[in-house]
Amino acid sequence: MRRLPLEDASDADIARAAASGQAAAQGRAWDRFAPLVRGMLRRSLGPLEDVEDHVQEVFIRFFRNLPSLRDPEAVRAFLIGISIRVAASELRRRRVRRWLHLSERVPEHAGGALDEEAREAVRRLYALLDRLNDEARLAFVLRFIEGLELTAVAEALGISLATTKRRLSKVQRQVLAMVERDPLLAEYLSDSEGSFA
Amino acid sequence: MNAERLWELARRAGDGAVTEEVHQRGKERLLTTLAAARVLPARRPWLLMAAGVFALALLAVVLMRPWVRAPLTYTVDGVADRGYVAPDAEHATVSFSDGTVLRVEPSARARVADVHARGARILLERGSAHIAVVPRPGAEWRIEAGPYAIEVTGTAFSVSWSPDEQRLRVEMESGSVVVRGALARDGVSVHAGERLIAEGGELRIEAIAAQAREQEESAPSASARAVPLPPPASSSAAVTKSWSQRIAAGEFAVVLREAEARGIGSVLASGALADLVALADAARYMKRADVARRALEAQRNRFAGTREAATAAFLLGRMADEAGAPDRAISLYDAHLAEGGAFATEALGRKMLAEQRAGRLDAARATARLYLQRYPKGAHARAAEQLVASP
Repeated sequence: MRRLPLEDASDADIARAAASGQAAAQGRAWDRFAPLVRGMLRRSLGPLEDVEDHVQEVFIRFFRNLPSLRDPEAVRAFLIGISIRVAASELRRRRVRRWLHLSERVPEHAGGALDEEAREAVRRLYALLDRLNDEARLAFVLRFIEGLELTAVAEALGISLATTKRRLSKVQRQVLAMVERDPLLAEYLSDSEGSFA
Repeated sequence: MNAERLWELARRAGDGAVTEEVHQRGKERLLTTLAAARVLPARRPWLLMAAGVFALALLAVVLMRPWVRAPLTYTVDGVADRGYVAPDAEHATVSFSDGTVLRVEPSARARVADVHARGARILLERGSAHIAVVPRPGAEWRIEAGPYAIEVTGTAFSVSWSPDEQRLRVEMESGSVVVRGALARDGVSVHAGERLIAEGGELRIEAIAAQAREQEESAPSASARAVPLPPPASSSAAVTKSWSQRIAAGEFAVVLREAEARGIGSVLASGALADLVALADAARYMKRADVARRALEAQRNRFAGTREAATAAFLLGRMADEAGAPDRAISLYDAHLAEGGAFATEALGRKMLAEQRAGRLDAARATARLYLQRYPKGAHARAAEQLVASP
């Protein structure tokens, strides 16, 4: 167990301490928020991807922009917003690489404790998400995979609630249609048992 | 529908947890970076500008790459008259360096107006021609006949133009083209097995039946579809969308409707593989099992040996399974496995269950043992273990 002065501090206290330049707060912010950021990036880019470089980038941007955080209570939403911008930038980079016919980095992350079947399903799902535009993909991930409330999705994407609802409605239909057409993934849409443990 | 199961799987897979070692390594890296950032000298603007100029130059080179390739060359085998290919008694052939072949029929008059790296622009002043364009990425061919232009990327078709009757006729053999012009300002797509006729202020597309090919002047078949004239601007994208694109957009009903307009039989007999896959997908999603089965069988019959044909075997096996025909399902799963299909794990597991349902317990146990050997952590592993352990 790590013993740091800020161990029992709230999220907002850590944000305030980091903004005021306390060195210990930087490490504490990493301890507290790295799982949130890493999860957000993995779910946005693909859970089988190695996202450690992007986690670093999010935190560097976080510390650089901390002075602009007006409400320290909203530090998690602030970090989610940065994570989404970093993810969007990575998705754009990938598209350019594909366009230039450059090879993609081979995923390294093992996908946690998933068995081969489940890993294959996840791979296929994210291959389908690769066919969406970035805005639709990120909205879908935030709402349906990350499980954020509509208002939080709107805030993270920097769009209105009405636009968020429209975008989500359309992308949900699109993804369900694509999943339905994939024989392996379609199993998840049926109520029958026994196909996936 | 239980999509939440799938989203939950993605949620679990994307868990943000890592080992303590990875966590600490990340933390050290971050703290080191932050410490170094404080002592980094300010970046020199000229260095950034130079990098920007270099990146722009690189981008320009990449963007220009397709345009700086050498143009195609061609040879004419037949009668060429002051730039025109105008055969008298026999046809003349224009062979392009990418393998594309234009055959100009007797009495026709055509001209290669422009040749570039990605294709050519051909003017058909009158008569008939046949062209087989070799599919290539970025290919750009254009056949102009009177007030019409036929845009081609890779396909084979015949075209005839009568300036006196102002009649255009396009007959597709494979692939698809987009025809633009007086009666189709926003473009109309014509697919394999279809014939487009534009004349007398009307444009129609009809299926080419085998008999109709022999009787070229016969009346339009019952499956002809009239194209609304002029097409509204807002519908232009819809008119030129491929079925694969429609499927990706979830427009299953539209694909089925268009297939029915073209004639399901005609699509199955002469449609491109991508169209058959799209039709099968649309029919499965719209619960039209009869059409789905025929489209999948057409993939297997006409495109044997392809990845799509192997997938079709798996899907047909599932359909047979669900229809209570385990023996048929087993043979289709076997076909999928023998053809190295992408759903081998699922096919083997389903084969095992189908054998069990069909009362072929010895075979089911043998399949179960094979399954456990190949996929010990697979989705059907538990069922396989129970089968192997059963008396």
